[in-house]
Amino acid sequence: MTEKFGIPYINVSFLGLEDIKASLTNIAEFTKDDEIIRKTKELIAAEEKQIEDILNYHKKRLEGKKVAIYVGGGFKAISLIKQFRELGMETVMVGTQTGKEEDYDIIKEITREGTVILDDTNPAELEKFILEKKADILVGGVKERPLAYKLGIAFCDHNHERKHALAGFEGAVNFAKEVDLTINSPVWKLI
Amino acid sequence: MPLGGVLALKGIENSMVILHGSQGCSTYIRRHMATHFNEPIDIASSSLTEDGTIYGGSKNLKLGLKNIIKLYNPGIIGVLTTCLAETIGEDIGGIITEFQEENLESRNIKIIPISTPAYSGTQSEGYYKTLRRLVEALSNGEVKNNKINIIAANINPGDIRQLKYILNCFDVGYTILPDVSDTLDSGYAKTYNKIPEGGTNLHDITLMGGASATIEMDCSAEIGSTAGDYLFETFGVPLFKCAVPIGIKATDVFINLISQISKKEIPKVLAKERGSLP
Repeated sequence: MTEKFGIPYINVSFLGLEDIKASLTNIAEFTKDDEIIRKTKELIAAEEKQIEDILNYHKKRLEGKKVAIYVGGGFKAISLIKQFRELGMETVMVGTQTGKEEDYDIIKEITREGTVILDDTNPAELEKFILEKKADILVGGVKERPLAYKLGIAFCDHNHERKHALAGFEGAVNFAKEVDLTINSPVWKLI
Repeated sequence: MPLGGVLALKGIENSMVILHGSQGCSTYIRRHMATHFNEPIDIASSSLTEDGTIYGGSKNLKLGLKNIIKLYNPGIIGVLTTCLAETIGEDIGGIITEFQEENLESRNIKIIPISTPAYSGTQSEGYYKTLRRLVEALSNGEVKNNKINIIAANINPGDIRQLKYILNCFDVGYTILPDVSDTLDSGYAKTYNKIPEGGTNLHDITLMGGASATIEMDCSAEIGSTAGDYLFETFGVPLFKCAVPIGIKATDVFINLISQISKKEIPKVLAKERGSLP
């Protein structure tokens, strides 16, 4: 549409507080309307205040846990790394099925030295690195759920089939709650 | 076809399967079966891309087989084709022969080619065809034995467990092909096995040619095309067909067949269970 009709565009994402805030700010600034920019700032502050306590509660229970990510696209992987970082969690393994070179450059930049980065991997490699890096949770598609459970770790389904929101401020809370529930489930003490 | 073939192979002990085709062919079967059974489902792929499709995929398939042997150490590998491999006319039998000539360590592994293009048949046909290819490749009539062959329909792990319970009540020897009762319904263990425990034992499949009879739960496949037909035509193993023992009538037929073949009375416990149906 930009090429053909000259309609300008910007990239936005509404997953994870960092991206939500940046996206809202970018959209507001794009309008160059001071009133909109002021209202957006207020909205962000109000929304953030509303979820602050609950997010901090989950954060306390999740801080320091290790994450393994295996998803379809590079953008989702990048977004998830940031969201986990907001919860004080460290990504120790990350892979995608169709990520592009540019995606991997960003992934490399935002993860710590020593993080295992995989492209188009297989169950044998997932198993190896989940165990080797002592991940506490795997985030993946539904195929990977049974593997996580067989390895005795938590799992978060970040797939299209879920019905609740993971986007927006409300989604950020849902995400934290979901990750908390599975990681801190009493079942892991019983296996 | 490939989904049925995979289902059959997942009930064979220490087995692995590779689909000769593009990655999606195995991904979507894995995805479907993983959610259906709640089990990790590993299916290898030769990952054919444009190059392999145009120049032939033997290099990919051989590399895939090598990786499977290294990572899974299976006793048997089923090589299933897909629409793509069949359309370009891949000779998987020839590729496997070449592979086993080139790789000494692969010669004690059974590698079985099975043609399963999805455009030529259904899930059910892929399932029964794979079972037939398994007995063709493995069974012989050398050792006569008193076992009963049970060629199971594509039924769930709980149903297979129930069949085994009935057969155990009779205290008869049997080989159930395939046996997914443990492989597709396993518990948590301290160490994770890439290939789940359980499944039909390979040696037991070789004995199927010398068994006392075959009971085959299939009434849909083309007459003469099934594993039971092959065992009858090649080794003279008497073949009895029955429906899946679901419902009183079909269960009676199955139980009476076992009684008739084994010349054993129907166990009291089964008669009692039948009488106490709510």
